[in-house]
Amino acid sequence: MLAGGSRSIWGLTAATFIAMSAAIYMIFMYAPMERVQGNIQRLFYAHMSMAWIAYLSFFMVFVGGAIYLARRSAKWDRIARSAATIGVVFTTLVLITGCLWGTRVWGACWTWDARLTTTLILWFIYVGYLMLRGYIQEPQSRRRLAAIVGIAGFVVVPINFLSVYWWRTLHPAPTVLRADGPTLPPPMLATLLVTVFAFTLLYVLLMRHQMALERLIDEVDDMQFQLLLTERKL
Amino acid sequence: MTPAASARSLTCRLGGTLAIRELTFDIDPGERIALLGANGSGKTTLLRALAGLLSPTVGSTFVCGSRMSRAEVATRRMVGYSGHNPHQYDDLTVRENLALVAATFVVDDASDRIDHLTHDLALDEYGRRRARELSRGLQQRLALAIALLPNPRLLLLDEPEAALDGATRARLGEIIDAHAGSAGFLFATHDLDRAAALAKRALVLDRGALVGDFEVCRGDGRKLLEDVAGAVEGRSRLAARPRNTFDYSADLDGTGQGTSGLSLGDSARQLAAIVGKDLRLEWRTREVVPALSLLSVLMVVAFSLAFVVPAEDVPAVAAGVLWASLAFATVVGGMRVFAAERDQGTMEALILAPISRAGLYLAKASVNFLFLAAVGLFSMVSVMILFDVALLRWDVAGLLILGSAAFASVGSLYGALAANVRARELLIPVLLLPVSLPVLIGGVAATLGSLGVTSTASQFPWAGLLAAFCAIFAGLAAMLFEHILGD
Repeated sequence: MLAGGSRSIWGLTAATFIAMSAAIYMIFMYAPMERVQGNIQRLFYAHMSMAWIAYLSFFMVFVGGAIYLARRSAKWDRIARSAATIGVVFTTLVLITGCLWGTRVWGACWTWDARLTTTLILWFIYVGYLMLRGYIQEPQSRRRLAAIVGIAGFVVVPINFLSVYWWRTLHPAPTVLRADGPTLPPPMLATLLVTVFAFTLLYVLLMRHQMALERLIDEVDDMQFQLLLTERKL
Repeated sequence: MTPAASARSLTCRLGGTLAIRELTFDIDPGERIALLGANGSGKTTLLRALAGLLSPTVGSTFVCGSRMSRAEVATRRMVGYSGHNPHQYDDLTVRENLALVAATFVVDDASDRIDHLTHDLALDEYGRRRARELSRGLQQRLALAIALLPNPRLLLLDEPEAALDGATRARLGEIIDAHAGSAGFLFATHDLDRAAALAKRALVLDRGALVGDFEVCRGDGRKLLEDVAGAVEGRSRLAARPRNTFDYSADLDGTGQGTSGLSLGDSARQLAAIVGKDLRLEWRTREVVPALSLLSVLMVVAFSLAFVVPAEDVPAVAAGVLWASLAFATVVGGMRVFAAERDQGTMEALILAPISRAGLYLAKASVNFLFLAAVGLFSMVSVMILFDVALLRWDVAGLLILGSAAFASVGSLYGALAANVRARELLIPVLLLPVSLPVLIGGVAATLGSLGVTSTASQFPWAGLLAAFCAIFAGLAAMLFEHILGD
């Protein structure tokens, strides 16, 4: 069982490495340079992939929280909190890469654009989610209340996604998920899809590692509980 | 016969401590049981777990055949509980406190029962006094009246005689017979003479474990003292032995109550009672609305000092300041309606009340909405005066009312969530403000439309966003509220 799990981790790590290498190659060697923005536009592939991972993470926080409340299974809480940690990291990276890109293209690191603002709001919501967990000692209360914050916070995710439609923004409109089909040239689209795939593999890998870590934390907590039971019996 | 209450392998962990461990016993209807043990033996934890105030870490509790975890409204209606914190509102009178309990527990012939209880507990002459004006002993009598008023089938009292005078102590058994004679009655006490006078059976706890479960020799406190000491020392004659316990492997739904037994009208009256109570308390204490209104004006002053605003931008800035002040009032006020309950110890009363969790949320959100709407209208007038912008308009007032509802829907959810968390004053702004920002954004954009800064038609989609936000959070909170209050 352990050997099987270990093999799958190694397999996943190898696949992620290969996919990431392919993505990096395509970003710098295969995708054409954008005529107006120049090489800085190559950030787009990583920036959008990381935004996708952030959305995916926050969706997992929502799903994990909802199923935890329904089943009270610690496993789903581990999924939610692992996803929240990864989601906050990737949202931070999205904000940083957006800032680097914006400095060159808009001449400003930050602007109160709708997409940027709602992304920052999302970052605050999920940092708050992680902070809340640190403020509650009792494990069941912590899981329960964190699940509620994770579910309620997800309400802002669709607002973030739709912000480029609702407001007039500097942020580019979607170029792939459009009713009339993708507007990206084929080499750019291929590069983007490979990068998104590579980041998705990276996300799965990080989730597995983070969940293993969280499982160890839960096991320590369970051991402390068992120790309390044993001490009382002696 | 279905027991009035049962515990099966009941284990409760409080932080790093195991407060009670693997307790299994039944309490029959009409049975009076003294719960004995040294300080820290787990008596209070056991009573709280049986009342449904504490979720078992392991094991289960049952009341009249219904599992207490994820308690049904009907189950809570059968429990009378009085703990260390009196479940009474300091600024309500004795009769108002009792009327509130009668309304939330949907007590039949409430007026007659209140008359009888106040008479039997010698509270009738204090009926119009506020609870805060009562002595400790009178407050204890009121707490007893509150526990007995719903005609419970399980009565749980934590040191009920601690502050009572001799005459009331002597009549306690008689009073309980008169008002909850058929109830299973479990009470914690350190007074073994009184335990021997009141109880037919004793449960003895030692460091969270049940070490004694035996019949009490009526009226013989000295004998009870010897028996308790023997049980704690583990002498076999007195150690807890497994009794024949009720078989809960049978279909629980068959023995439980199933439905709440409350009509829609009953539920509406319960909610009206909670809202009325909060408004009455606010009227008497003037605790929330004046402070929030003052805060909102201070915000307006601070913003006007912080920014140098060109004349043409004043309407836009005024709209922003108006909504920002309301958002900050939400952060402070949203927490207050639940924190006040928690501070007074009355949050337990709300948790124990047989009100649907969604209904409880609705009642608290309604109170929050009324408070915020009042603060919003106050802010509107102050912004109008200080920024010289014609804000006093029906459409802006309508937007403020809609925005107050949206802020209240999310503020009440997070206020309840953080009420029981340490450092909540720091945590609530961090949690609530980001989620509230869409309301701020929508409110400002809609107000700009109303003021003609942007196109007039543009206010309608934003008003729609406010309404949608309010509906989504109210629906979400109604579904999740039972999880916030715990099992």
